[in-house]
Amino acid sequence: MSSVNQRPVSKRPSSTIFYTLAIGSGVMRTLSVAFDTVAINTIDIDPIIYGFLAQWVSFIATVLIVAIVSIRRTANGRRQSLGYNLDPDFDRLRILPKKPMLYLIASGFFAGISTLSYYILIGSTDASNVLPYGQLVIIYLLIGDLLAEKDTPTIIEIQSIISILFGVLLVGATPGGFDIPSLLIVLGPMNVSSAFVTYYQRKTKRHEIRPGLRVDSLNMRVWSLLVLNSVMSFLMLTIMPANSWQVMIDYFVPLLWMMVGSSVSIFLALVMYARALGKGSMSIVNSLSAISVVLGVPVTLIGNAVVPGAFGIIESDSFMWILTIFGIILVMIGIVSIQAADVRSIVLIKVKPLVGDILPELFDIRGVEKAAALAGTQDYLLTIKSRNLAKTRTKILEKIQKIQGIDHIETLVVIREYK
Amino acid sequence: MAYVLMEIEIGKTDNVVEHLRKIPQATKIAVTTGGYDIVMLLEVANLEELYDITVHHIHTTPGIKDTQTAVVEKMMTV
Repeated sequence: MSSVNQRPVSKRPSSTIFYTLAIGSGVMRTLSVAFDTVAINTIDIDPIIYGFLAQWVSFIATVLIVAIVSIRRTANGRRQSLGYNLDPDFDRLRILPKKPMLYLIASGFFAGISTLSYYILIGSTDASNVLPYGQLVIIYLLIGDLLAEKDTPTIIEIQSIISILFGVLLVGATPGGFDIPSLLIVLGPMNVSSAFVTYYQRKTKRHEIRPGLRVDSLNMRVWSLLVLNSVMSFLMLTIMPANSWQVMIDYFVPLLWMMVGSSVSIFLALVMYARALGKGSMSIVNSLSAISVVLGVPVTLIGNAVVPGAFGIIESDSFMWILTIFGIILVMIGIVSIQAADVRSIVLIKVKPLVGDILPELFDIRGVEKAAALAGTQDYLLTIKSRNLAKTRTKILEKIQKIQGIDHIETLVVIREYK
Repeated sequence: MAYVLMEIEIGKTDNVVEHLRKIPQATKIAVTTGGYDIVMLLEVANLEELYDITVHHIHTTPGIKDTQTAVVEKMMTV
């Protein structure tokens, strides 16, 4: 379980590691986009053809890395794979059970659509635009949550949705007006699909293969990448030019280091993100890793100063840069405010005599981050997260109260937390 | 793994938190409203280690009125 991997409270170096991992995840994501931008701009290649090639190189690189970290060694008297340090749920490269595999197929299907949209966009813009575009998914996730729970949005949620939406619109502005085709891709297939990817990945990660063991993030990456590539390739084949195979053969070697760079950096971004989640709260990790939104600007400007034209077309109008920076600030504010608004509570539960194990039932309630069965006066302790106290009551506590056999519930609202 | 639920004397919360943060096995400390003032998660290797922390750290911390220790039998986490 990932919980055994949490850092001690008092050791300062651990907090340094946590911030390094969370920010590093955002930096790696920026690097990955930068590699793709450089590849497309330095070698005059159709972004769709590059995407096809890069994604399959990424799959091979990922399988190799996961196969290497499947090697076992003895540590502290226990036989563990090298990948245990990356994800404590990881054992070896394996085919997953039917249910999580079905979730991954669904996740990979939508990721294929989203990735195709990304490669279409990367050909016409640069990292400073693509990175904020990707954050629009937060809006869809929020709206999805609100619709699923038939809930009214809070002020913070409305503020965040508007801030991110307006930010993305500003980033997508051009001297002639809005870049309508790009915005339609961003508002439609790219981020709607990403929202479904997040939904199915969450479902996969919460699935328990056997008591105490969850689906690991490394196998999740391998299998979802296989489905993603298959779906994306199928869609790409219909729009790829006739000479695509010859272009791939001709440019494979010159593009190889950039494709490997992109694959390794996105793999590291995912691992660092997963490791950071094991050390701190999701809201802080998401806020810190959102630094990728800001980094796109210096990467594009500095990169183009070093290798002119390699990092995309630089907008010469300073007013347009101001609009882009305003847009990025709005996106960042939207992300950080929604993450910072979370209210955490600890719920202590006592059950009546002769009640069976309700731990899985409690853990299945949306908003429950951690569920523990206890020995002592209390029977269960839950750590829950919601957007505000009213939602804690209506969306989580009322669901807990409906479970048969509960005798007493005590809610402690967390006013300060040390990790 | 164990949770320690604590009741704290009025005005002593910050001092107690500072003491508790020195315990290397404490992975999470939450200051809460409600029946308990502080909830701490300890990651210990065995009950002997839990006993050691309880007796030598928690019981010697000034400002703690009452504690309740709950050993985790099973934990599910995202």
